[in-house]
Amino acid sequence: MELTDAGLVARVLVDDDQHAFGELVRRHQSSVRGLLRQLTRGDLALADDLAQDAFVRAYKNIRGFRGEAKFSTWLYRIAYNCFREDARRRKELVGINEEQWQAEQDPQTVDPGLRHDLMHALSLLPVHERSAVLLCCQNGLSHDEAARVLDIPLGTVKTNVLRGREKLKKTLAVSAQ
Amino acid sequence: MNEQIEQDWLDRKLEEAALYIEDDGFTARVLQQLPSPRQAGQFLRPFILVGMSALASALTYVLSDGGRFILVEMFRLQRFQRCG
Repeated sequence: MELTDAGLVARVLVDDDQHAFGELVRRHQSSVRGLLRQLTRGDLALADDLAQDAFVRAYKNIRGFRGEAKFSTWLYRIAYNCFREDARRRKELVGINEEQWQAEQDPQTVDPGLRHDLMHALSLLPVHERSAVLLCCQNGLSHDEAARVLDIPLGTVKTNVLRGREKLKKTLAVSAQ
Repeated sequence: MNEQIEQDWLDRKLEEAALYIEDDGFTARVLQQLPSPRQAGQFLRPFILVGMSALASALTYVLSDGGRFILVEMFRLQRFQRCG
């Protein structure tokens, strides 16, 4: 019988079982890497570095997981913090000029999937709206869970999701013309 | 109503756009970066050391007739200094 995430976490806590932690990484690597790829606007190398960092941090701080939220939510929060710290270092959070960003894009490092209209529209959203839309609309988190991940008030999450959706719709409508 | 349909369509498209990412050695790379697992009983090491030291001290005290040889040696040393 397959162990639940909570069961695997218990094994890591009690026996320091790295195989159990490996199973947790295998289970969640796709969603965490996917989230970070879109937060980093398709920079695969950076996203994977951040994802690795997030999993290593999760292992080191696993005693901080109290089981109040889903393991994936806790993991998203760590991954988002890794992204935010890195973005802060890169001054992305203070608002990068979109034209400058487009000009800086190296086609070699951009995920081909991002060329899809929707992904492109998503990448044009400001980081706070992009992360809220990704967590709630793509990864199926509730607004409450997303608020915990992003460490912002519930109302702000709802506003960001609403605004993000509206902008996505507008961008898609323009590109469809 | 129309807005709700649009919203559902957008959410569905977003979910579909999230493709499964193959592991391709990612998990192995993460596991390589983890700190080495705690060895069993490692946290007991300081207690064992202190316990062994206390036991050795107690044994020495008993076997030396209550530490009598220390007093004898100290007395001898004192006499030697006086003679010198």
